[in-house]
Amino acid sequence: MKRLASVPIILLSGFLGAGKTTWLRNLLQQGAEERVAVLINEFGEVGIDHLLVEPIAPDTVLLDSGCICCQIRGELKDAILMLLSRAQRGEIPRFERIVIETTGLADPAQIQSTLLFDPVLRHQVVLEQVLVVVDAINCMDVHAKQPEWAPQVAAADTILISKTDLLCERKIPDLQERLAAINPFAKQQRSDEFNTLDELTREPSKNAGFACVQVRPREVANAETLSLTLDREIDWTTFVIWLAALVHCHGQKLLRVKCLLNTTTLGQVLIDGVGHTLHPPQHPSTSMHSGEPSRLVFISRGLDIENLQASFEAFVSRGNESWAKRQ
Amino acid sequence: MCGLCGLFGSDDHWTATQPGRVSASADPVRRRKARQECVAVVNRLLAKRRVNIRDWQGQNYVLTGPTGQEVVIDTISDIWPALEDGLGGVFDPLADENVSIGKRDRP
Repeated sequence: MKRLASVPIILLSGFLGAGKTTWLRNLLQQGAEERVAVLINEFGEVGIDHLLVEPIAPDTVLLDSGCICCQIRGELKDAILMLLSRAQRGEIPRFERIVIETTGLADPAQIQSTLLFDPVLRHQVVLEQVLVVVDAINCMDVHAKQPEWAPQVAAADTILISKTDLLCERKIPDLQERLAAINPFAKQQRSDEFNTLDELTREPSKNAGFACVQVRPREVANAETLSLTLDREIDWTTFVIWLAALVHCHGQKLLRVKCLLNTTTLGQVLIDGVGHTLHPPQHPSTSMHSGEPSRLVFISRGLDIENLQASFEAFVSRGNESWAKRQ
Repeated sequence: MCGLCGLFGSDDHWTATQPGRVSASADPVRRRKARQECVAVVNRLLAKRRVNIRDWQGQNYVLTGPTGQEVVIDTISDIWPALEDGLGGVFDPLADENVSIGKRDRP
């Protein structure tokens, strides 16, 4: 029996009013050649967003049980399986991709966890990208004060900056630098730069490598970043056990972990995690040059960065202490 | 499943998966070896607490507390909640006493 390929999923997140639905609506209108199923989740008893998208994407499903991250993981699973099942039966046209638009208060890590580890879903769908829409006008002054915002930005593979036309052009580099301080490895794009989802996902995704921009250490929205480079190979087993203990104890404070490691036994390994959710390790598709140092980035909020570095050096380091340098 | 030893190759937690796969190595010898390496590292970390772990049939781990109480766990990540559940308390890798253990006992 022929095994069906996993359907790619794009997770669209962003704070309330950031412009998620507007962006999605414009994209669906422009990319008419793509078949996209849309799942929309709204916070509140009366859903509106799906009415805005439905005329363009008839396969839109409204998940109306409130916050996607804590209440409706079962409903999300059922909705995805229902869509796949209806497409296989021919009741709806086959689609190439699913877009899940979360509420503005959702934590993407919870949804990622469902998509990655549900025993049924993980064989049928694959999380392709986490897109987070950031409001250029309000993000630093208003949204950054909300506890939901930083985890959303930290979870992003791509940050789409919306409403840039309303912001003075010379302020945009500073905004980009602040966003990079929270999430140094996310691509940053203006939300009006894409015409199709294909165009957006054609760019290298998180699994393709480790593109980490150098940023000045700064604290934004109470999020701090620890970046380490290592000249030595890492013992994979020790690292895994240390990271598992760290994630168990401090997962809620670890907004994002991304590491490209030179390991003693497995070669190059890419680790990507959000909160308590760790993606299965991957070999990077773009090989590092031999001798290139391992790179590790930890984005945290409320975690003692000095302690984190000391712990990493104590547990994982082998040899003298000078190999790990903090950037 | 391995035809010789009957091991289910279903260790699919991220701590056990091989890069690029959704589960542990299908090679039972490599799986056993990887599990033994994990056991050795964990036992080194928890020796001071008189807690130890051993592989059970390549399928589970058995965690033994300081009083001899034993708990069967599925993955390496299950060690930490089991410790908190009466087998020695929280293991915080950032705590000073554990950092010093890591520093002293690393291979």
